[in-house]
Amino acid sequence: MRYLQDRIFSFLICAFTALSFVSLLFVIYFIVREAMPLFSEVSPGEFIFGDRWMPIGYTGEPSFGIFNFIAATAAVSFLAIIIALFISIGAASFLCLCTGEGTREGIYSVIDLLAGIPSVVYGFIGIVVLLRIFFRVGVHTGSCVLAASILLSIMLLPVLISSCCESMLRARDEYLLPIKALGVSEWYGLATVIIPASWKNILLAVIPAVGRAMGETMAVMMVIGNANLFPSLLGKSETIPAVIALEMGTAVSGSTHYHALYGAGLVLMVMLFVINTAISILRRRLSRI
Amino acid sequence: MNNALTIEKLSVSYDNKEALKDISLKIPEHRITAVIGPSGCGKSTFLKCLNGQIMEENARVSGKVTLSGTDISKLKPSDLRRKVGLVFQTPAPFPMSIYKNMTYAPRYYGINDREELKRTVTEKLKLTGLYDEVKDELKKSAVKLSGGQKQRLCIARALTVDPEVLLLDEPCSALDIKSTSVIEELLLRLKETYTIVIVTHNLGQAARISDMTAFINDGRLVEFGETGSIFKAPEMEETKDFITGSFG
Amino acid sequence: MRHLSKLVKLWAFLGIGITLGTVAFIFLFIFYEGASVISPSFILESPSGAILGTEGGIFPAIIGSLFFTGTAVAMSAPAAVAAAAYITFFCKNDRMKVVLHSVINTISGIPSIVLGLFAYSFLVKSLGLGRCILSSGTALAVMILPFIEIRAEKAFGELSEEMIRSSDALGCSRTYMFLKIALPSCKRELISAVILGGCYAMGATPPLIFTGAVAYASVPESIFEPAMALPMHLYLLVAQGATSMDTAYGTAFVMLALILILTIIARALGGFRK
Repeated sequence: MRYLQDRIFSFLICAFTALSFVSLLFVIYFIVREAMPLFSEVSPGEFIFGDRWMPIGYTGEPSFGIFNFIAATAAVSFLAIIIALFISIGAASFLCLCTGEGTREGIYSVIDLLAGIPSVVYGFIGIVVLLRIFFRVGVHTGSCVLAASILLSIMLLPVLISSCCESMLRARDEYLLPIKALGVSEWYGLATVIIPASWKNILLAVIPAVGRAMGETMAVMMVIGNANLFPSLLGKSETIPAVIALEMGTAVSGSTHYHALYGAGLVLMVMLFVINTAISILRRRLSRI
Repeated sequence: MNNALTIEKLSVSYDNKEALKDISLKIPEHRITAVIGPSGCGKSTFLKCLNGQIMEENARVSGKVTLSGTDISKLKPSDLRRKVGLVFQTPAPFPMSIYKNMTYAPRYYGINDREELKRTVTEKLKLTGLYDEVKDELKKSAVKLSGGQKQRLCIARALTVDPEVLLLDEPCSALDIKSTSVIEELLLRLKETYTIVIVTHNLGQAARISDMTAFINDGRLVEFGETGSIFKAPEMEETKDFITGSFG
Repeated sequence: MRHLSKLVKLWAFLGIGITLGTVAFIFLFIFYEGASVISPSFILESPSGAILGTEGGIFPAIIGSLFFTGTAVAMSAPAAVAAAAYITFFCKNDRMKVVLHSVINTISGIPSIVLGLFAYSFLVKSLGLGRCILSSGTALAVMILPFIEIRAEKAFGELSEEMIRSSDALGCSRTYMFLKIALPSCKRELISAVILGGCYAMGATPPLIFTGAVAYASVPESIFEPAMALPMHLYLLVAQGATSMDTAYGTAFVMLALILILTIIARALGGFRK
């Protein structure tokens, strides 16, 4: 009796666990299935490196090239990471040297509130605050790549601060006493020893955030202006998730346009997969050294 | 004197590294057998063989262990565990009340009668001397007990399934001197009902409480015999070195 | 030398200042601007007005969001907790654990917009469910699966190894151990993880856009019909421009308040960061 119950329960656990596999397989299958028809009409090279996105042929031939979207996705994420890293290392330095365990936990949980804010709210605040500032400064309509990056960088702060802080705390515990014993100010020690010592770990912890940044839809879409242009700091552009979110509603199911949007989704997924794989290889390499 | 456990030509290896080599000995009933040896000599692996835990690890095991006449590899794991109890180094009470800790295993084996459960709890707690200390607060969380009480609770809990043999893996190394001596007295009382095998690196403890002592070094059984003779007149030079503290 | 010290110190104060300042600004800004819009009728009425949403309330969107979130959590929580339990207690094969971990990591790396594409192709089209709460809920469920799994696994992982081995030593099965020890002692953390997962799902827009969330619908009665959702509603109000800004602030207020309250409950249950 007991034995039977155990078997049934273990089986249930396995079955539910299998759902994770199944859902991953299903996602990949359906994205690939819907993307494939595209490539019978547009070659992958043309799709990835073409910069004309003309889903419906109002003026001339329809054309499907997502190069600018790819570039914008990469540019916005990269810039966001740089900004976020700058703020995070500063904040982590503060948390390392100026706070005790208790205060730090308190500040952490305040910062964590940022992670709970929905991205559409970030987009909303971006429009009513950031874009107005950019507009006043002279950017046409205010929408631009930089605005999107700033917004995105704020969204990345909770993850980045906690991983920066974690590696810096480890370095601090190792080096701070010797630094103080030399009579050097702790801030000087932080800049010359602790930050350089934790640099590698910070970088490794940070790169996964690229993935999150590249997949972000709402906040970026609401402030980037959504024009098919090659990204420039104060110019409009459009990312892959934004294209999908904006055009999926109007694309006729089964049309080339529809398949092209799945194609764009597939490209995004492959980009993220490549990045994640590269990181895990890199991490294994570095941890071996 | 009957033998509770007979171990014949027992060898264990992990990833082609031998942890135990060709061990044969007979563990007598109603006696305390101490297993001593330097750290990493295979003492804990030896215990794992006796309650079958070794079968769940990636280890190659050869040889035979018989428990009162039955080859233990023929027993179902849960039946073997009922007959051979095991207590760990760090006391690990379950995060529930003392009473529930004690009824955890009996309920698993299908005992649901309240009176019977209560009787078991009282009996085993009395056996470990814990009953008088906690009888009024059986509903209290076991996590709140002191270290020594926790360990006695774990011993009592191991007894709730009425094992024939009780294995203890350094049961006192996480405890202070006073709790240690309480547990030692307890073990001396328990040997009237159970066969006890205790792994310890406290040689004094082995000398104080055990009847038989096995000295394992580097995976080999170096010497096995009456505790008195092992400590006073060891036959092997190696044993003598260990006992007089030349190594380990 | 001196300058470097000062520079770093400035950097540190700037960093923490910007961070905490941003947190404070976002919440105060939304609560300040939104507070004047909030009234019982805003919360309890349907949207109305010549341009939808300029007048009236957001009741169907609140209920709709609860439906989306509830569906996602109901589908995701059992799978996530089971996967965590399997990895921690039941799986004896190390290679299997590695595979499972990388599956879960990969899922967590899928952008939510792609999950929307998946749900559209699979549920809306192939299964013929059409745009409905269940279609979106499935996409959301996949999205929060790794989120809950990671937290559940962490909770299970904190149980002491010796305790689990003690249960084994008594001959009890892992199933019995899981039901009698692991689940009861991790109950709070698990509930907390599920609530946080719910918050995450409640705020997500991309998986809903073309799979089940619509600009206007009455309060849903089943999961087989489309519904309004708070984040989608907010997006549409903002996209309409200046005319519906007031209600946009109100909607943002309600969302933030809901998520803040749920987060606080979850934190109180799960204990603050350990």
